[in-house]
Amino acid sequence: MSNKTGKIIGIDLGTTNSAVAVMEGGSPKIIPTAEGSNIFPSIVAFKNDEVIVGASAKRQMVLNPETTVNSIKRFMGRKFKDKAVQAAIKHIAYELAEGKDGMVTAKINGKTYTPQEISAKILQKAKADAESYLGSKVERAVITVPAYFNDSQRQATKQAGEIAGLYVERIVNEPTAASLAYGLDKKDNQTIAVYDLGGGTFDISVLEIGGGVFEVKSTNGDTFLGGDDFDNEIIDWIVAEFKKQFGKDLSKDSQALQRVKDAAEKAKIELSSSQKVELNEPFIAQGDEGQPLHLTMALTRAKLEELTDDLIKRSFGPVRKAIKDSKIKVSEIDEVILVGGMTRMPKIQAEVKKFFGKEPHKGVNPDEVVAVGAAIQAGVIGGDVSDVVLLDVTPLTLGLETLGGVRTPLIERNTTIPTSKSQIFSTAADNQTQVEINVLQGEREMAADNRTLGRFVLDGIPPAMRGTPQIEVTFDIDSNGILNVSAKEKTTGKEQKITIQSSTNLSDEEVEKMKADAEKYADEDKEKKELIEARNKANSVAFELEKQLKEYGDKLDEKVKKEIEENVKKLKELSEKEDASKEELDKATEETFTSAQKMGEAMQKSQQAEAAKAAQGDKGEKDEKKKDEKGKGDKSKESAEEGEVVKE
Amino acid sequence: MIKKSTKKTTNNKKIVELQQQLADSLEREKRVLADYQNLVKRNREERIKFLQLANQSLVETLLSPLEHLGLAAEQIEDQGLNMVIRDFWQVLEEAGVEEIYPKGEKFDLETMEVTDKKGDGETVIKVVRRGYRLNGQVIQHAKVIVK
Repeated sequence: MSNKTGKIIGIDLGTTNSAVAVMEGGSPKIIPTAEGSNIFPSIVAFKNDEVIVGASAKRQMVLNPETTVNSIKRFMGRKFKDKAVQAAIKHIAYELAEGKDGMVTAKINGKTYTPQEISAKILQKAKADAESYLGSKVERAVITVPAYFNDSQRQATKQAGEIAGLYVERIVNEPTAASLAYGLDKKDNQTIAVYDLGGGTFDISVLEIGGGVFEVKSTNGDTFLGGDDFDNEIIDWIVAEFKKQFGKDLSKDSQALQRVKDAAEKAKIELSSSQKVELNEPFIAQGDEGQPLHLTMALTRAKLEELTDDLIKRSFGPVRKAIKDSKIKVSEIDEVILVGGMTRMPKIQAEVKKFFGKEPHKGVNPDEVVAVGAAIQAGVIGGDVSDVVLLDVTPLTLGLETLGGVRTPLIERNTTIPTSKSQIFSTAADNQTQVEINVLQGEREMAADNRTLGRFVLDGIPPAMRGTPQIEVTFDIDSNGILNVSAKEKTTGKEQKITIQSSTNLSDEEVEKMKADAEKYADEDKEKKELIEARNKANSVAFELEKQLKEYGDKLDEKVKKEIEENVKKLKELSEKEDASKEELDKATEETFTSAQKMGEAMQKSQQAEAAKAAQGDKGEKDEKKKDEKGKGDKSKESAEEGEVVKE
Repeated sequence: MIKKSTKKTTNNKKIVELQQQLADSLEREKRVLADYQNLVKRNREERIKFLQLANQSLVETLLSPLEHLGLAAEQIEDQGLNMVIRDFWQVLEEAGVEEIYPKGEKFDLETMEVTDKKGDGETVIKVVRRGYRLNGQVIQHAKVIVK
């Protein structure tokens, strides 16, 4: 395969762990290492002439600390005298020296390596694993770096790629990659906070996306805060508890300590999904008289949260600073993303949610999310991901105008297309023979505030009382975003339709503006809508009662009838009054209703009487037959039976 | 005349456009085909691997109680307990499980992990956690101390 057509891989070159992903069949896929795991330690070991990278290098780290290089990312593109370098030196066992132009170099077995060369070994492993997975040569990559990396650090990362035999198509910021993994590049004018708590470092970044460009507003972090600190808290607790119980210090016994370490790590992971774990390590030590001692204790999620509370709190110092530096209010942050294995901890998720006041994104595996984003960027460059966004959802709500200028939604926004939805509507006035369908797009409650996509008239509706005709309106959007609206009168089967080509081709700005307006005017719109609904209700109650008065009025007591008539009249007048408030309308509707209950009673009586009459009629017929059979009937008996029926 | 030549230019433009579209489509087709072939290959490999390691997760969950039994036997001299452990091991060996207990051996990167060292040598002086293989593949590295 030529260089141009080969796959481009996305690499998350991390301080503690690295991961590789690629676009495959249109979606990102993590490339497993030769050892079968999705991520691998960013550790390089030099053993004689051999270079070992990843999990194997980690397994022999204790044996050869001086020739095993970890956390090399901390030294990328930095000068030896940098404060950050001097702070990190304490945490490593291999030797660092000042190289060309005062830059950091690592001294291994008397040989000098630049951080670029060491990182290149990690990238070479990534390349080799990808080639074996894909079955073809890989020569191009997108590599991620922390948002705070300066030019020199980015340049060094690019060089590392080149040393590894990879043409670096692009250097992408880690928080940007995470945003890409969540598809946030498709949104416009959004502010995103990325909370990244990994194996050994914590980063917080505030980004702004506009016109497809991510801009880093601020970053902060703690270069020595990560998952290992959480493990250590649990280990210390287990050791202390055991000492309290048996007076034995497990940390003094290497075998016991190893078992405690393994148990602590396992417990930490399990407590992300369960509330309590049992730690059972029998025969972990011996008592003073040689008797076996067993470690058996329960660790609850609450206890873990208490133990690690300080660590979690520690992360929010940098978060506050980053927010302050970005000059953006916490409430203005639209999206929050969690990155790094430690963010699986429910307490961290809860604290992040509490701080930002919104649910963070966490669907993509937090260990892999950066590599996934890098692969998506690689896919865009390589043409696997088309820049033309395949429209898979409707950006705005589609609906139609109903009585009183209210917008009634049919297809809510963000509905995946193709889709179809029908609803039955009716007429608003007696003997109405046509209806106008005004197709609307937007989020506002009132029809006039939305965009009209098209309108058409369905006529030939048979004259009938309001509310009687059944008009089925169907909205259908095909996969190309073309909207077909049809209205069908159910009794006659008469139908009208319209096709709207441009239901979805709004620019991002237009969509955003419409959504923003909807939010801005939400309360006002709601009030307006409620007022109209109250007016509509008053109107229809008045109409309905008028109709019933005509029918049953003669059965009512004259006084009651008059009272109802007056109430209905008042209600009608009120509903036509421009400045009638919702409360007035609701109150009047309620009162009219109550007064009309007497009519209801009268109606019921009259209906029952009719039913009785009918029943009597039936019986009469039967009796008639009986009479015929018997020849003669008994009148007094008949009236008595009638009386009984009425009583029922 | 002018109209005609404009039409010709438009046609030529259209041809170039369509040729480009065709080239892009063919390129995409090749990629999709390659992706598919890789998927089939990988699927086959994964199935073989899956069959070989079908018991892996069950075996892995048994490792801890198995190790605890071993620890018990070291502390308690009991013939019955030893019989239980032997029984247990017989079943596991049939399923392809092997123990890695490299005490006295030279450190081997493929099967071990060093947790501590007591000198400059590479000989395992203590096994702090036993390792295991399943059908020849290491599923838990032995954790060792070397001297």
